[in-house]
Amino acid sequence: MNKNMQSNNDFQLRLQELRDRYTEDLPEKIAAINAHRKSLDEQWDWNVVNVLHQMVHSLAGSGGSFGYAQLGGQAREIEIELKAIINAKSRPGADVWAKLATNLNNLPGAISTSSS
Amino acid sequence: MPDLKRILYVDDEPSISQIAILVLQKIGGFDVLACTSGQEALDQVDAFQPELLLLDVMMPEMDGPATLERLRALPVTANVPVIFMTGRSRPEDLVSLKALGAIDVITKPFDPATLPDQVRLAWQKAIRRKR
Repeated sequence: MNKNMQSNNDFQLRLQELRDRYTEDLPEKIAAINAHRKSLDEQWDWNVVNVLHQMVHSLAGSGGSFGYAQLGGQAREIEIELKAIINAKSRPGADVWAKLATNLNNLPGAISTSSS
Repeated sequence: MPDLKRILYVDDEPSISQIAILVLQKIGGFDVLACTSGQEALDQVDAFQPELLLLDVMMPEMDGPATLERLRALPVTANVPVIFMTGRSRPEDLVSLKALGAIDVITKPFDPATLPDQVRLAWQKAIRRKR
């Protein structure tokens, strides 16, 4: 095996490692997102809303790059909903919050529809 | 035409940062100084002398535009081309980033396989325009 082939193999292995690690971490990340949402059900806290928005933003930005286009797309929609709540600076109505909770609960289902 | 070598890349998101660094180095062949915050970039940029700034937009404490403003105040990065990376793809978001002087805006999620070429082409176009 020449040096270029070895280098390409090393690159592919490293890329796969990163993808595998991302996949392994996904359930935990989504569980943490939902835990933050549940804590808001119990007590509203704008700091937690901002953290939740950051977590969903991260998922939206990374999902597609790791082969989880549907997950990333769903996360992007939730991110937009959260941003609207943050910009409105008022606690959302029960219907808005229930819809957002449903969308968050649907995130784990999108993991299985990886495009990679 | 000179070739792009040194990229200062600032992104606080570890998973996306790792994959971007990997493809920029291994596919693009670039030297990458990767920082997780604007402050870290400001602390390290002088010794690195980047030829391109690749900045995530949404970061805590100092976001991409604020980081750019601080970098523009340093002689070493005063005129270095900048590309923003953002999850926002609304036309008005892209226009406002271009208005800050960005030579390109890469929307997240990006395709890792084409990121190095996209970065190189935008940089080459900017260098040609400068001449």
